[in-house]
Amino acid sequence: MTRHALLFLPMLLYAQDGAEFNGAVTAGFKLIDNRGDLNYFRERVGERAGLTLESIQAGRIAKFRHVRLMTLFTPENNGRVILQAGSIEKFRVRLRFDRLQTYYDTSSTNFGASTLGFSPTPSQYLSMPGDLTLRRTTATVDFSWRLRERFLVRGGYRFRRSNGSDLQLVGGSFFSVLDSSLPTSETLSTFHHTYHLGVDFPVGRINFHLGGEIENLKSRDSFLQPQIGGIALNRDLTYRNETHGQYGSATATFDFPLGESWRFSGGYLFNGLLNDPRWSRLEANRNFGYLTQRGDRLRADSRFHGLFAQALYAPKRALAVRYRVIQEWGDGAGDGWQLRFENPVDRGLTESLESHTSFTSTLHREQVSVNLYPAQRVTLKATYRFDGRTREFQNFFTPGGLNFIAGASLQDGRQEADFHNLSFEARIRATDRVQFQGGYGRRQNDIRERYDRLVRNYFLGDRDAETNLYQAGVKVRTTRRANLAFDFRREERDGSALRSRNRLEFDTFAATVNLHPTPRCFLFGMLHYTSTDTRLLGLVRTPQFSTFSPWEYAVSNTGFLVGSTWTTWERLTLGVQFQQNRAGGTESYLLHDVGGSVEYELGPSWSLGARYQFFESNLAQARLNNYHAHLLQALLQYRF
Amino acid sequence: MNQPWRMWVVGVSALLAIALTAMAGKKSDSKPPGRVLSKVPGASPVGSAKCQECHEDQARFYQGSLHHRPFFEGDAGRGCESCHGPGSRHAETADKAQIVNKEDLQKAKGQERSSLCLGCHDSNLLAKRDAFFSQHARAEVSCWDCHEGVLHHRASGGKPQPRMAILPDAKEGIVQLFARNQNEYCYRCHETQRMEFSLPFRHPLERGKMTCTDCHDPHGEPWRNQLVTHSVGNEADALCFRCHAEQRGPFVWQHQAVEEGCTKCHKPHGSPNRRLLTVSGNALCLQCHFETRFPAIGQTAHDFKLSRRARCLDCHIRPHGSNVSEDLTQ
Repeated sequence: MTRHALLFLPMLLYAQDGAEFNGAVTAGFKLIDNRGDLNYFRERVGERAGLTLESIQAGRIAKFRHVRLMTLFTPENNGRVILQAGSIEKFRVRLRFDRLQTYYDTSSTNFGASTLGFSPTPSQYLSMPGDLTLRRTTATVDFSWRLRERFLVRGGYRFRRSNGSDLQLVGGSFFSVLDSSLPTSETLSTFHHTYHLGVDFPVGRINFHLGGEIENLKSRDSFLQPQIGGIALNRDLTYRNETHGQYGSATATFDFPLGESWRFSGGYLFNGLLNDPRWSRLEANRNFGYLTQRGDRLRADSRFHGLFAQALYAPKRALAVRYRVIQEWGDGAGDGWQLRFENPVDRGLTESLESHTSFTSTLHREQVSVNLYPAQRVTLKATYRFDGRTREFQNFFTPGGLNFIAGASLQDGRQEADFHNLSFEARIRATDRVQFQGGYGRRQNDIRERYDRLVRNYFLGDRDAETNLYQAGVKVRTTRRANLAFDFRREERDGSALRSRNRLEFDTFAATVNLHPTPRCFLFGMLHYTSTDTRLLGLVRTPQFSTFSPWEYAVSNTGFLVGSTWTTWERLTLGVQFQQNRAGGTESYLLHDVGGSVEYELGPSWSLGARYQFFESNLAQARLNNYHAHLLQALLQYRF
Repeated sequence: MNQPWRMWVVGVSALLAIALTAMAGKKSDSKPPGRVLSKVPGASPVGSAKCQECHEDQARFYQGSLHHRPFFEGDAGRGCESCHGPGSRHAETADKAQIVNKEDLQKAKGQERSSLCLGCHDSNLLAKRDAFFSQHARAEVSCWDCHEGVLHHRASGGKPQPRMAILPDAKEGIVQLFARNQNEYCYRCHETQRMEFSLPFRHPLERGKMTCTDCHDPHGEPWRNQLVTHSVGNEADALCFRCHAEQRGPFVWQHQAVEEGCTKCHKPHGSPNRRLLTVSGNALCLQCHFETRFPAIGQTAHDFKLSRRARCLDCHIRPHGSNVSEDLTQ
C-alpha cells in the first residue's frame, strides 16, 4: 500500500507553490508476537507486523482550491484515496481508490487433536489450517457536468477486483486421516466493470433522473476439491471456472412535488444477468480401478423488469403518510451441455447431452406507513409491508443426475411466497435530557410449493413462519458531559417445515455510557448481552437407538468494553482499553483485548506515540484455533 | 398472489402520478429557507465582503475552503447571509439582535437548520426531499450535525477540516493513536449499532477500513434502511453483492435462502458467530431443513452423519448456490 502514497506526490508539489495546505502523515512500526493459530488471529484482528504507513490526510489548497484530497487511510494494506477537482457548479471529477484486505481462517472450527480421526464423534471431513486472504480493490471515476442551471449530467466508471487463494489439506476422518488427506485449493478472481451515465433535469414541475448502468462481472472461481467417499474410497477432483455477468441495468425515475403536501416519485428498472459456468470433473475409484472424466457447461440468461411508484402525503407537521408499490417481472432460460468419457469398464463409451430449462418469476411489493406527531415530543409510526413472489420452473429436475442436463425426465414446479410485515414504533422525548423509544413488529411468511410430479425432494414444501419483534430503549443525557443509553430487543420466530415446528429466540441488551468529567478526560463504557436460543424436536437416530429428542442450540454472549483517554497536560495523552467477550452454551469461548497507549507532542508539527495490546482467544471446542498475542507499535505523526 | 389486480395497482398509481402532475398548481419545489432568516424585517443583503470588514477571523476560516466561492465570489445573499440572513441593519447598527446570530441558529429546529443549507444545495434533489421527510429529519438531525467541519464555529482548532477526516471524539479504537473515523457521527445516536460492531465477528469498521456510508446513505430513503442500492431482483442484497460479488450468482442451483435475503442467515453489522451468522453450526441450516422425516433431509438419510457431529458445511460447501450440484456439495 505504501506505493500508493505516490499518488500524493503531485499534491505535495502543488503545496510547495505557496498554497495553503494542511494535513497529517502517520507512519508506524509494529511488532507482533503470536503464540497460537496465526490464521485465526488474522481473521479476527487483522493486524500484520512490520513497517506501515498508517494514514495520510490532507485538505484544502487555497490557491488550487478546486483540487482537493480528501483522505487516505492505510493500516494493513487497507486504504482509501479520494481526489476531487472542479466545482459542482460547473464540472467536477472525482477519483476514488479503495482497498480492503480481509482474512479467513478456513480450517474446520472443530479441528483439534481430540477430533483428529480418533474421537468417537469426529466430523466427516477435517480441514487442516488454511488461510484465505481476500483483497478487494475498487477504483472509481465519477464526473458531474452542469450544462445549464438545472441540467446535470452524471457519469462514471468503476472497476472492482477481488482476488484471493487458499491451499490446504482436507482429510476424511472415518478411518485413516493420513491416507485420505488430499490437497484442496481455491482461487477466487473477480473482475467487475461498471459504467453508468445519468442526467437530472426538470420538465415543468417534474424533476427527472434518467440513468443507465452496464455492469460486466467475470468471476473466475477455480476450485480443486477432492471428494472422499470414506468406505468406498472414491476420489473426485473438480475444477470449476465460472463466469457471471450483469450486462445491463437501467433506471428511469421521476420525482416531483405537488402543492405543499404531496410528493410523487416513480420509475422503471431493468436488470439483465448472465452466467456461464464450466467445469470438469475427474472421478476415480481405487477399489475398482476406473476413471471417469466429465465436462459440463451451463449457460443461463435472466432478465428482470420493474416498475415502482411512491407517494408521500404530509399535509401538516403532525402527519406524514407514505405509500409505495413495486412490481417486478423476471424470466430466464438456460442451456446445458455435457460430454462424458465413461470408465474403463465400458472403455470407449462417450456420451453427450443437451438440455434446456426456463423459468419465470414475479414480485409484487406494497408498503404503507403512517407517521403521527401528536405532540411536540411524541412520534408514532405504523408500517405495513407486503411482499408476494411467484416462481415457475420448467424442465428443472431430473430423476437421476445431479444437474438438469443429466437426464431426460422433466419436472415442473411452482412456488408462491407471501410475506407480511406489520410494525409499530413510538418515540417519546420526555424531557430535553430523556428519550424513550419502543416498538413491536410482526412478520408472517407463507411459502407454498407445487410440483407437477415430485422426482426429488429438493424443495422443502409448504411452510410458514411467524416472527415477533419487541424493542425498547431509553437515552439519557444527564449533563452536557455525560450520556447513557439502554437498548433491548427480543425476537421470537416460530416456524414450521411440513409438520415439524421449531422456535428461534434472540435477545439483545446493550448499555453505553460516555463521560467527560473534565474537558481533557474521556471515559467510555459499554455492556452488551446477546442470546440465541433455538429448539427443534425431531427424530434423531444413532447406530444404537432412534428416538425423538430436542435438537438445541443455545449460545449467550456477554461482552463489555471500558476505555479512557486522558490528556494529562497539553503534550501528553494516555489511553487504556479493556474488552472481554464471553460466550457460553452450545459453543463457548472467551476473548480478551487489553491495551494502552501514550502519545506525546514533540512540537507543533510532530507527535510520537506508542501502543501495546494483548489479544487472547480461548475457544472451548476448537482449541487449535486458540492464540494469545502481544502487539507493540511505535507511531510518528507529522502535521503540516 | 399473482392476481392481475396487483399489476393494475402499479399502472393506476403511475397514471395517477402523471395526472396529478398535470393538475398541479403553483410551483413549490423551492421553498424559502424558513422562518429563521426572516428575523429582521426590512433588512436587505449586503454581501460577504461587507461582513469581512469586521469579522476577519470568520473570513479567514473560509479562505480556500469548500465554501470559498460563495463567500468571496458569490452574490449578495450568499455566503455569510445564507445562514445569518440579510445583514444591512446589522451593518448599520452593529447590533447582534439585528441579525440571525449564533443563539438564534442554535435554537432553530433541525429541519430549519437544514433548510439554510438547502437554500444553495438544491441540486441534490434526493437530499432535499429527505432533508424534510427522512427519519433523520424527523429525529431533528440537521445537515450541520454531520457536516460540521464546514461551520466556522464548530470546526476543531478553528480550521476547516477535510470533509471525511473529522473526528470529534474517537471512542472506536481508543488505543489507536491518531485515529480518525467518520463512523463516530453515526454512533452518537446509533448506540446499539456501536455495540454490534464490537462483537467478536463484525464488518471491519474499526479504524475506518469501512464506513457506515459504504452501505447506508444518510440522505437515503427510510423504507430501505437508507441502504445505498437501487436494483431489481433483491434490492437490499444488491448492496452486499457490490463487495461479495462472488456470491451473486445467478446459480443454476441457488439456495432458496439467498433469494429470501442475505440477512436470513447473516447479521450485517456483527455477530457472536463466525461469518456473521445469526446462528452457528447445524442449527442454522435446521431452521428450515427440519423436515417430517428428519433426520432424513430430502431423500438422503443424515442420521449417521449428524450423530457423528458432522457439520452441514462439511459436505454442502456451497451454501449460496452451485452450478454443479443441486444439493450444493460442489
